[in-house]
Amino acid sequence: MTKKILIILTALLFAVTAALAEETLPEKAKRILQDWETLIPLNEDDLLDYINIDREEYTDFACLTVDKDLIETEDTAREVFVLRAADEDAAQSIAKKLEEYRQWRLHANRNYNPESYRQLEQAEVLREGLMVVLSVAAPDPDEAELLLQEE
Amino acid sequence: MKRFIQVTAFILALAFIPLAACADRLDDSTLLSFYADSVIFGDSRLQAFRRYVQQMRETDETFLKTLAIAPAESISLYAASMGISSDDIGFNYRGGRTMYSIAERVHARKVFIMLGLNDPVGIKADKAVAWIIKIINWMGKVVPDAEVYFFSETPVTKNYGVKKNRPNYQTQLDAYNEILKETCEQNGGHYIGMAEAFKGEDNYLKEEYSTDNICHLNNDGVAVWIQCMKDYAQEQYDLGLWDPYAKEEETAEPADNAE
Repeated sequence: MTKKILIILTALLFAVTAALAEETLPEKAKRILQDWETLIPLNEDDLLDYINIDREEYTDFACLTVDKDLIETEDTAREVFVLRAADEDAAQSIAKKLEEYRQWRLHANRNYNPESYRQLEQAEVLREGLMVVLSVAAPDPDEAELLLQEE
Repeated sequence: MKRFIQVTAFILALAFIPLAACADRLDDSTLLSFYADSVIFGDSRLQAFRRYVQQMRETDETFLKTLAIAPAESISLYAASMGISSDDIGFNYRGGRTMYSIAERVHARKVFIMLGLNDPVGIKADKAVAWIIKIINWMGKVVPDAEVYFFSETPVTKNYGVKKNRPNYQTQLDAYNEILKETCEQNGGHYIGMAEAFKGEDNYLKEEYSTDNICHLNNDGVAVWIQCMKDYAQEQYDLGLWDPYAKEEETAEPADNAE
């Protein structure tokens, strides 16, 4: 009996430790993004205001845009969006909205910012399970895939 | 002697009146409440404004919290005034693609506009008059209780004239701002003059306020912009045109962007 209790308690301890150790998406972004220090985080209001992604659609997110005061050019479209959707339908919805957002920025930059246009053209919304990622102008070409992976 | 005392007392009293007025400087939070439940439309300069506000909100989440900020990078005053929304141009805020649909959507109490860089209005000042009037009138239909404010065009650097082959552009911008002010005053709009705050002694945009040494603003430049907004609110208060302490009237539909 004592042995059973010990086993259960040990299993519980591992589960709690694992839960506490689970990396949040902002922590993950900080770990993976090579230019993290030149980026400004966006918040839930920004996601709703500019991309129409509702709070109920995701359980975690890390979205960042470049701080143009810290870099030498205005002509960059550097942004990163990584979200863990609430369910499959939400993941599909988020992916669609991110693609609409990418298209909007693409067209806005077409005639004025050739480099930004090129960066947005090359970017792609990726989805795996409940994870959705849009990475634009990443210094690391593997950035999107790394963000997409669930540990 | 008595006369002398009377005159001196009168002069001293006059001297204290401006001091008393200056002493009633509102705090920053109160001044920025002038921009509550409102929307601001702009071009790439407003992107810089938006980034600045995002950074400020990291330490103060109430900073301009209920001001909807709607930039569209390459939009012109002309396109915005016409309510044009296509694949290539248009705003994008809460599903709205034009200034008018967005202002209506957020139930804006005030509408602020920073547009003209992409026209560029300095060389289209005469045509711009019609666009400004159109905006004021159209906004009057979609948000009839809202006031419409135009920020003066921000200056450009000397380098702008070289890069764009427009050597007299700053002079043209100065003339445009006069036209903008006059047009606002004659058509029910409001003008917020702030160009001078950005200029150096040479009448150009100070390089220290620019990211690209052409026309775009950095955080220091946006800080100047925000200061001008506060100064304008203070001026409105001093003139008795705005009371930040007045109780708001209850409305049937609260603003979408108020929390």
